[in-house]
Amino acid sequence: MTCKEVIRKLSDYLDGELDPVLAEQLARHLEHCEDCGLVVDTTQKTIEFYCNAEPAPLPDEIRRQVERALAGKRGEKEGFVRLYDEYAGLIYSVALRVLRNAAAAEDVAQEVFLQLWRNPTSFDPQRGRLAPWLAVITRHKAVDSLRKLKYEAGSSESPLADRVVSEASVHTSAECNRARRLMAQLPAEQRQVLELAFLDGLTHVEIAAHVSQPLGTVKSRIRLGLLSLRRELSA
Amino acid sequence: MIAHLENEKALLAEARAGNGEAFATLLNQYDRRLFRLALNITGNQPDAADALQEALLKAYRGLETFRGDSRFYTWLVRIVVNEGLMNLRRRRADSWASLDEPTEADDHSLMPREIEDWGDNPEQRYSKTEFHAILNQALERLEPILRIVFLLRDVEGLSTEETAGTLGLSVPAVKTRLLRARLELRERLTKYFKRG
Repeated sequence: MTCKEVIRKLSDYLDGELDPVLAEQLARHLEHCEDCGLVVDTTQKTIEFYCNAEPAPLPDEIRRQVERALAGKRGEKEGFVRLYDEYAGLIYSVALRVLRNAAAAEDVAQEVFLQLWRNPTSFDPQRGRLAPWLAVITRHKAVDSLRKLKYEAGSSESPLADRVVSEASVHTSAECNRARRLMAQLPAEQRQVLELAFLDGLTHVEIAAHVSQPLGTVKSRIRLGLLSLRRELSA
Repeated sequence: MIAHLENEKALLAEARAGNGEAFATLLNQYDRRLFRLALNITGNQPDAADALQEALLKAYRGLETFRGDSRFYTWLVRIVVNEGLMNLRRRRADSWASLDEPTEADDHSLMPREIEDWGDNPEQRYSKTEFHAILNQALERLEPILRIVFLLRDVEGLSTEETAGTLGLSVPAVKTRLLRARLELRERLTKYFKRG
């Protein structure tokens, strides 16, 4: 091995990342090349000097500046975390209803929170309560994302999905997942009216108008849907 | 070390849940190092302070996005580096090129010029203050991108891959810059540390 090659491989050699055969050749070169030996030794020392240098304490003035800035954000952060706990379930379920895909819904939920976090003033408390507003922007984003996404049925095993469980006041998350699976298996016209009734809170009359079907048809679809859900759940 | 990491995990969970005290405690063990890093990137205290402050605010806000698949410290380092570089680029629009591409070094310029024995403990010939001034001065004179690669790899202990990811460089690019940085520093320090 030549001196030039030793220099090129110096870093890998010092970091122990050199191929063992080459490392052996390099070590043999060092045995009788004093100059390369000195370069290896002094480079090693250079690295150690910098690596071992203790950082100086933060100047007081700068520590105070940083602490003040962080303290200013603490209340904001705590408020945000509360908000997250309170509304994550709602936002997730709205997104899930549009997207029918747990991962995609979670992405949308994250986006909604990020937007709120970056720009908390985008919500105008004068205009109404937070929940309906969040539902509207979530639906909006979910529809956007649906346009972009190839539809894919996904699992709903995610931390956010669990929050929906407590919202729906189903006893266990396993039960909830099962119910959701069963819902998915219902005939489309039954699933649609059940969702409108229980997730969107529409009255039977409103549903009838929404799906352009006679009231009696809507009622019997709801009854049939509920019956088969109950039958499957108790099976 | 394990106990330390367990403790960090617990503090992180608290900080994520909005506990500002926990976040401050987490930072206590790192802020000196992070400030030194910012200082070495921006080159002056006021800019380093701004970069550090901005980075820590971002980290605090974005704690939810820390996925825990890298070390917390590495994650912080990345944010500080980004802020530091942004600061540097804002101030020195002309230095874009030198930040991204170091001037080409051929094998010839890599070859050591000063080859002298430093002897054992050459640092003992200087006072602590003098010694640190020598180290800092040599570091300051490196091209920015060489300096930053050296800092991340040899001072902050990031892996080659982590350094590449942080700076948006390829692994071979990190390696060649690191080699140049080490050799150039060695060259400058030799003036002070050679025997006799």
